Amino acid sequence: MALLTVDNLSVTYGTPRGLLRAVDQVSFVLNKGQSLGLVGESGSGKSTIGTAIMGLLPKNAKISSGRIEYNRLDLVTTTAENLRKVRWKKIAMIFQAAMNALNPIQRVGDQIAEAIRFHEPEKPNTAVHDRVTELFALVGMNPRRRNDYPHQYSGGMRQRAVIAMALACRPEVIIADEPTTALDVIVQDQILATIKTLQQELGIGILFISHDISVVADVCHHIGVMYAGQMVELGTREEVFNAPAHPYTQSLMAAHITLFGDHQPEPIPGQGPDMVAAASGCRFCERCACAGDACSIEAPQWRALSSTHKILCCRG
Amino acid sequence: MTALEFNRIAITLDKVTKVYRSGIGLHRSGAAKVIALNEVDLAVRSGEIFGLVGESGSGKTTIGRLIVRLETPSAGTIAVNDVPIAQMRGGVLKDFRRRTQMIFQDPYQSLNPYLSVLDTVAEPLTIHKRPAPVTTRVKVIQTLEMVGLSPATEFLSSYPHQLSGGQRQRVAIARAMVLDPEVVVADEPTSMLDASISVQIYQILANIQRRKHMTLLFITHSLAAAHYLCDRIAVIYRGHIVETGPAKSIISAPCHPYTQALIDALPKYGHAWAEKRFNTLRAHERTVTNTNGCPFFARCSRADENLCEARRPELCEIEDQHDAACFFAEEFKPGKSL
Amino acid sequence: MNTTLTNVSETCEPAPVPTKARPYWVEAFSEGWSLFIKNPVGFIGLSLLAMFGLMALGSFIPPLVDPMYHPMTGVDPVIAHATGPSWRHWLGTDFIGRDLFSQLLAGARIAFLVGISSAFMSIFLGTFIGMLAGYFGGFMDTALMRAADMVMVMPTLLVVLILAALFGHLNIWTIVLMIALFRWPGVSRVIRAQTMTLKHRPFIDAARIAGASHARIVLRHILPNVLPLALLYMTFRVTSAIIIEAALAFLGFGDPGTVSWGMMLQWVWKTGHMFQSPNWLLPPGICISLITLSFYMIGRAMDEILDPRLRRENG
Repeated sequence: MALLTVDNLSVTYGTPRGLLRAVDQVSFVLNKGQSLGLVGESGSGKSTIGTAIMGLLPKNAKISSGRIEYNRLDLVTTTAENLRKVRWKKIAMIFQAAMNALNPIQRVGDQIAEAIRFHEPEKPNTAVHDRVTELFALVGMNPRRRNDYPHQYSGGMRQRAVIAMALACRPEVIIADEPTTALDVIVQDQILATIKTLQQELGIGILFISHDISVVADVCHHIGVMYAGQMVELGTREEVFNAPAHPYTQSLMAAHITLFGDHQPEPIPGQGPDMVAAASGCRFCERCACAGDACSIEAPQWRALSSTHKILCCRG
Repeated sequence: MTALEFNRIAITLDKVTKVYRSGIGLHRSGAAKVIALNEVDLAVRSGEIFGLVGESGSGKTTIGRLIVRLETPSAGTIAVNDVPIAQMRGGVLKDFRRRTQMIFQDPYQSLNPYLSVLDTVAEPLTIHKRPAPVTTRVKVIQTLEMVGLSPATEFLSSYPHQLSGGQRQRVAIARAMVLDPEVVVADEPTSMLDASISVQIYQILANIQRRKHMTLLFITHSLAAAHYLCDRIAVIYRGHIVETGPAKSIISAPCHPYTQALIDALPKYGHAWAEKRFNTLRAHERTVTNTNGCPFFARCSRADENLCEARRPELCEIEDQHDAACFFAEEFKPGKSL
Repeated sequence: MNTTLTNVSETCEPAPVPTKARPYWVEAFSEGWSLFIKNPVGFIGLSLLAMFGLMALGSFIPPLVDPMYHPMTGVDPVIAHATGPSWRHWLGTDFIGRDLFSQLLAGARIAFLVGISSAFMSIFLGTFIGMLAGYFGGFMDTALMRAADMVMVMPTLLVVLILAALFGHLNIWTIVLMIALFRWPGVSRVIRAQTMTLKHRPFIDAARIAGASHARIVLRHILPNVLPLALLYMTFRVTSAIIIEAALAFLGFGDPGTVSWGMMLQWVWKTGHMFQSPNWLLPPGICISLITLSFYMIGRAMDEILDPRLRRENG
C-alpha cells in the first residue's frame, strides 16, 4: 500500500545567477513498512526532496511542479489546515545535526513530553509520562536518563532522543536525512539497527537520505540514485547494489572505498554540471564512460529493466 | 627503497600525554581536565604511509598537531628524525617547519579567502626564501601540475571562493608539498569531500608520496580508507593506541576487541562478511569506577572484571610487526584470515 | 597500500575556473554593494552623504565667484550686519556681513575632514591594538584591554574641553588627534573578538606550519579578514567625531580659524542672534543632525550586510 507518492517533483532555488533546478521531475513511491534510500553526492538534490516534503524549504526555494501525495492529499496544493494535520504528525523528519534539534536548556524527557503534548493536547500527564518511557525503550535508551540534559548525552544518544521525538506523534512516514553521518561507525551501526527494528515493529515507511551507499544498502529495501537533481536509477537494493545499470551508479559504486570489495576504487572524472544553466540532454554525459553522440542532445528516458528496476538513460 | 631506509624511524612518540584544561586564569583548580592522549607510543618509519584510525575525540588529530608542533605535549617526548621537537625555537624551529607540513580537514577553512592560489602556494617559498623570486612562480606551477590542477597557469590568479572543494584541497596539498617536506601529516583530508573526489585525493597523495619518498601520516576515521592508502595502521581509542601493524594484517586478522568491533560495525550488505564475526561489544556499557584500567573495558564483552579494570594492557607483539594492547589478544587471535 | 600507481593525468582537473578571477574583496564588495543599494536605509544614508559631499566640494566655488563670498574673510561691502535670505545671499549674512551659505558649505568640508580623519586614525589605532590583544592573548591582551577600559570610561568631551581650556584655542588637527586618541577602545574590542575567532581557523594554523612569523600572520592573514569590520566601525566613529568637534566649537573651544557648523552655532549664540535669525541658527544645526544620521544609516545598512557574512564565515 502506497503511503507517500512523489510524482514529477521539481524544486527550484532563486539565486543571483538565475534559477537553480535543485530537484528535476523526481518520482517515487514509498510503501507501508518499507524503506527507500535516496543516495547521491552533494548537490544531487536528495536533501531538498526531504525538506520539500516537510515544507521546510528556505524562502528562496519553491516547488515549481509535481505532486506529493499522502493519504490522497496533495501536499503541494492543499490547504494549510490539512498540512498541519499531516506534517509532523503523520510524516516526521530526523535531521543530520540532531544535536542542534535539541534544546540545550531543557531536560530531554521534558522535550519529548512536549512533543507528545503538542500532538495530543488532551493526554493526561501520567499517560504522557508512560509514553515517554515507552519511547525511550523503543529507541534503546534507559528511561532513567530522561531527566538529563542534552549535553550529558553522547552523540549517539542525542540522535536516539531525536528519533524518539519523531516517533512521539506515531508517524506513518519518517524522513531521515543523513541521520548517522556525524556519528562514529560503531554508534552508526547501533542507530541503524534501531531504525531497522523500529521499521519492522511499527511498520513505518522510511525515506532514508544519505551519501553513503553502503549504509543505504544496509537499511533500505529500495534504492533511488540521485544525480544533479534527477533520479537516475531506481530499484530494489539487490538490483541497484549488485547489478547497477546506470553509468553514474556504476561509477559511484566504483568510487566507494570499502574493506569488503575486491575492486580498485576509481574516481569519477570531471565535475558536476552547472545547475543553473539550461540543460539539454543527459546531465551525466560529460563524465559518462559510455556516452554516445545523442546523449548531449536528447533528453534521457526512463527504461525499465524489470518490474522494479529502471534507469534514466539515453541509451537502451 | 632500501631496507635500511625503510627501517629508519622518522617519527617517534614516547609516552606522550596531552592534557587539556578548560577554564581560564585563576580558576585552574576547578577546571575540567580532558586527557586527550594517555602515554602514547608510536613509531612511524621513514618513507611509509602510516594510517592513524580513530573516532572523533580519540586523540588522533591531537597527535597530528603535536607532530607538526602546533602544540606541545604535557608529558613524554616526540622526535622527528631522531630530534626532539618540543623545545625547538627560532631558526631550528623554522627549519623544522620547512621539513614538516600538514594538510587540513576542511578545504573551505584552510585557505585564506583573500589570497590567490599563487599567493597561497608561494607563501611557504617566500617565508623560507627559496628559491629566488623569479623562479617561485615556476615552482608553484610545477607543484600545481603535480596535484593535477592543470593547466596550472589558469589557476594561479583564482581565489578559493571560485574553486570547488576538491580543487581547494588540491591547492592545500600543493601548499604543503611546495617545500618538498620530509614528513607530511594529512588530517582527515577527505572527510568534507564526496566519495568520488576522495579517491582522486588519495591517488594524488599516493602518487606524490611514491615520487618523493616522504613519510605520510594519514589520520582518518575510516578503516577502509586507511587500508586502501596505508602501509601500516595504528588504531587509537580514547587517547590510547590499541593496535598497530601492517594494514593487511590489521584488517584480515585484527587482535584488539575495539578494532574487531570497528570491523563488525561496518555496513556490509551483500558481502560474505555480513554475519558479525567477532561480537566484542557489550549490549550495555559497564559503569567504570577505576580509570586506570583498559580504556575499552566498559564496552568489551570478553573483559575480565578483575584484570581489565585494574590494569592497563601495554602494546605487545602478537604476530610479526603486529602489536595489540589487550591481555587476551593472543587467546582471541582470529585463526584464519578472510 | 592497495593503491596502484596511476598516471597523474588521470587525476587531473580538466576544467579550469569558468569565470574570470576576481580578488575575494572585489567579489565581496560588489556583492555587498548591490545589497546595500537595495536596502532603503543604506540608500537614503548614502544619498544624504552624497548631498553633503557635493556641498563640501562646492565649498570651493563661492570665493571664486566673488571674494565677498569667502566664508571666513569675505565681507559684503554693503551689508555689515545679520540679514535674512536674499538673492544676493541665499541664506543671509552673519553679524559682520559674511555669507551664510558659503559658511554652510565650508562647514560640510570641515565635517568631512574632521569626521573621516579622526575616524580613520582611531580605527587604525584600534584595529592594531585589537589584533595584537586578540592574537597574542595573555598578558598583552589583559594590559591592552585594561588600557582600553580606562580610555573608554573617560568622558571625551570633558577631557578635551579641559585641555582646550588649559592651552587656549586648539588647532583643528589637534582636535582630530585627540578625538582619535579617545575613541579607539570601542573598535579595538570588536577587532579583538574577531581576531580571537580567526586565530583558530585552519588557514592560520597552516600559515604557522609554513613557518610564518607572528608579524606575517597578523598583517597578511588576520588584517584582511578584520578590515571589513573595521571599516564598518569607522562609519560609527565618524558620527561621534563630528558631534564632538561641533560641541567643542559651539562651546568656544574650537579652532577660530576654521568655519565649521559648530563655529557657526557659536557665533549665532555669542552675538545674540539665536532667536532673531532662524536662517542662521537652523541650517548648521540641521546639517549636523543630518550628516550624523546619514553616517549612522550607512553604518546600519553595512551592519546588516556584513553580519550574515560574519555569521557565515564563522559557521
